[in-house]
Parts: sequence; structure tokens; C-alpha cells
Amino acid sequence: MKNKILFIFLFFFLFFLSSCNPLKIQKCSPIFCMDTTIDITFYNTDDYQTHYKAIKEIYYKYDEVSSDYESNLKSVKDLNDNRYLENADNELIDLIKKAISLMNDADGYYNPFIGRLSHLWKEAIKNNRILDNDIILEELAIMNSTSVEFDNNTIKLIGDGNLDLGGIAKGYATQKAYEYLKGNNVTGYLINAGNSNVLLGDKHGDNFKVGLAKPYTKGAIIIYEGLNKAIGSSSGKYQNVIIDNIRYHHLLNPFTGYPSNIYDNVNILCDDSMLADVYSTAIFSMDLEVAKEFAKNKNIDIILFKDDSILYQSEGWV
Amino acid sequence: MKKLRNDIILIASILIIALIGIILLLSLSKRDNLAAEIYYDDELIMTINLDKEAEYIITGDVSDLIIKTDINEIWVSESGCPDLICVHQGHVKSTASVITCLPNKIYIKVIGGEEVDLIV
Repeated sequence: MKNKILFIFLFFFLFFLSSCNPLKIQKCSPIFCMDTTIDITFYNTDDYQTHYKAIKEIYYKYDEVSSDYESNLKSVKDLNDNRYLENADNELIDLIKKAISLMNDADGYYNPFIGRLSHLWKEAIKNNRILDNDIILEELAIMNSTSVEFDNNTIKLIGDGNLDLGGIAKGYATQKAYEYLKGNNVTGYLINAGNSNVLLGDKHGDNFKVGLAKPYTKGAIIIYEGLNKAIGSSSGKYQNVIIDNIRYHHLLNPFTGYPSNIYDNVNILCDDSMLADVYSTAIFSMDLEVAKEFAKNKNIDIILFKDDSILYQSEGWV
Repeated sequence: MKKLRNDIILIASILIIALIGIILLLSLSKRDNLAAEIYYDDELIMTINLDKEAEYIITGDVSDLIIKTDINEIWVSESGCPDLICVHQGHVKSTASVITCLPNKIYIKVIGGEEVDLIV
């Protein structure tokens, strides 16, 4: 009898100790690419350095092919400059095809042919001025008459517009990272791609706590607790200029050609990093009712900020 | 009977000691003060405790950065980079906040505190 009790106690004691496997945080060095930094942390993951290197290569690859600057690989810049690209990487072809399909999926609120107009606005903002309305109308017409054709591994731009994959490339690469991690049965991870694209695995089985920051003052406005989700954010607070009390920034409405100022910040919560990236850009230009309807149809959760407070929040954030 | 009682006391003692140990371990692993990790490219070059007023000069790819700290806050006060985005990011005061200077390849991340894993 005594031995039985002793045995039961010892069994529970050992079970208790074994269940206290501590959280092991495996932080990785930041990756400088895609005009931002990618911060990766693993949790209780065997051989995490190998996974880190593999994910780093994924981001580098998509950074190269989607680059609007000089690149070591055949890139969007080459395509925009030469109007066609022979022997393009499959990664670039798939990325462009996805961007075009999502342009239709997002009802035109995301438009990858906005490259020229986007470039002109960036130059104008840098010089503290706004674009002339006639130029905007002219550029919108060019954007709307541009398309792309594929012939095996040759890509051809039809029309005079330029491609800009800035609204999708990071999310697409993060989604590829997710596919890699899933394929290798890695579950404990957190990827923060420049704060605008976040991939949550799990924290040794637990939820993450993600603070959603106020757009223009310090501090988190709400804390989201969750796991196995993608978060996308778009904000007009970066690289902007205020003229006559209007903020001009890089997030353009593809229908008006002007920066959107309906919201200060848009956050998306969904299951796919690429969609989180593209939809946050698209919703940034949608009116409130259109945005609500869009989110409902796409089964995604959104938080829309204006003037440092929440304008609208769907139910999934709690 | 007495032996059984002693066994129970012994087991209960072990459990209590283990519990105290775990509580101590957990409380020690939590940091009251924040710290900041500073990376140049992918290399961690410095970890600073944010427990006092201090100033550091870090050399990046295009210029030096002057990084200042106070209790639980850090900021870039000067940089020679073109857009000064790092300077405009201002004082960061919460864990998981970051300051990035892309032209200089400098990345600053606030750690400790354990309030949140990330701020977006």
C-alpha cells in the first residue's frame, strides 16, 4: 500500500517536471532586404539556424526579382526598362501572375501597374510638393491601358505603364517562408517583416501578444493575442509631406491617383501573408462601408484607425 | 503508519521545494528593465541596458549614428543618412519596438519587459 502511494506521488511529480519544458527563444539576426528589415524568432525549434538560412534565401530571392533598382537577377526593373524579359525566373513570373489576379480580386483597389505614378509621387514628396492634376490623370490613363503577356519564360509589358510589386512582394515572400516552415513541420516561429507583414506560428504552443500601435503617438492601442495567423498593416505615416493640412504619402488610390487619407492605418488579420499584404493596401483606399463589405466577403478581420483611435474593428481581433 | 506519514511529508516537501524553485526561476527570467540590441547588418554589435542616461556612437554604412538612452527608452538623435527616418522614429519605449536605419544597416530592437512579443 505504502509503496503504491509512493509510486503514484513520484509518477505525478515526474510528470509535472517533464511538462515544465521551458520556453526556448531562438532569436535570429535581422535580414536587410525589401527596403526594410525582416526579424525572425524561433521557439523550441531544432536546427533553427538551418531554417533561418533557408528563409533568408527566400526573402533575398524575391527581393532581387521584385526589385525596382539594379539587381543581380532579372528583375522588375529590367522588365520596366526593356518592356520585355526573356528567360525570367519562374518566381518572378508567378509573382506577377499573382499580382494581376489579386488586382481583379481586390476590385482594382490594388493595382500593380501603378509603378510610374507611384514613382512620380515619391519624387514629389521628397521635394515637398504635390503632383500636378493633369499629370495624375495622364498617368492613370497610362496605368489603365497597361497589361502583361507571358510566353513561356518571356514576359512582355503591353502599353507604357510600369509594374510595381511593392504591395505584394514582401507578403508573397512571407507566404513562401510559411510554406517552407509548414513543409518542415516547424511550428514555433514569429516573422516580422518590417512591422507591416507579420507571420505568427506559435510560441511553444502558446499565443503571441501583438500590440497594435497608434499611428501617430506612442503606445499600443489594443493587444491581440493569437497564433497561426498573418497580420498585414498599411500606414501613410512613412515618407510623407503635409501641405495645406493634407498628408501626402506613398499609398495611392488607383482610381483617383492621389494618396488615400480615409484612414491613418489599416490592419488585416487572416491566414495568408500575401493576402494580408495586398488587402491592407487595397482597403486603405476603400470607403468605410466598402471596406466592411470587402472584409466580410473575404472572411478577413480588419481594424481601421483614424486620428489615433479605432474607426472600425471587426470581431476576430478579440 | 509512521513511516507512511514520513513518506508523505517527504514527498510534499519535495513538491513544495520544486514549486518554489520554478517560481523563482520564472521571476528571475523576467526583466524589470528594458534593454536594446543593436545590430549592424546581421551582426549583433551591442546590447545596452536602458537603465540610465547615456550616449553611444555607432558607425554605419553611410554615416555615424548618435544613439541616446534614458531609463527604458532609446532613440537616434543624429544620423547622416538621407531621409532621417531613424531620427524621425523618435523615442521608443516599449519592448519589441524597433528603430531601423536602412542606409546605415543599423537595426535597434528593444527587448525585455515581456509585455508584448511585437508591436505593429
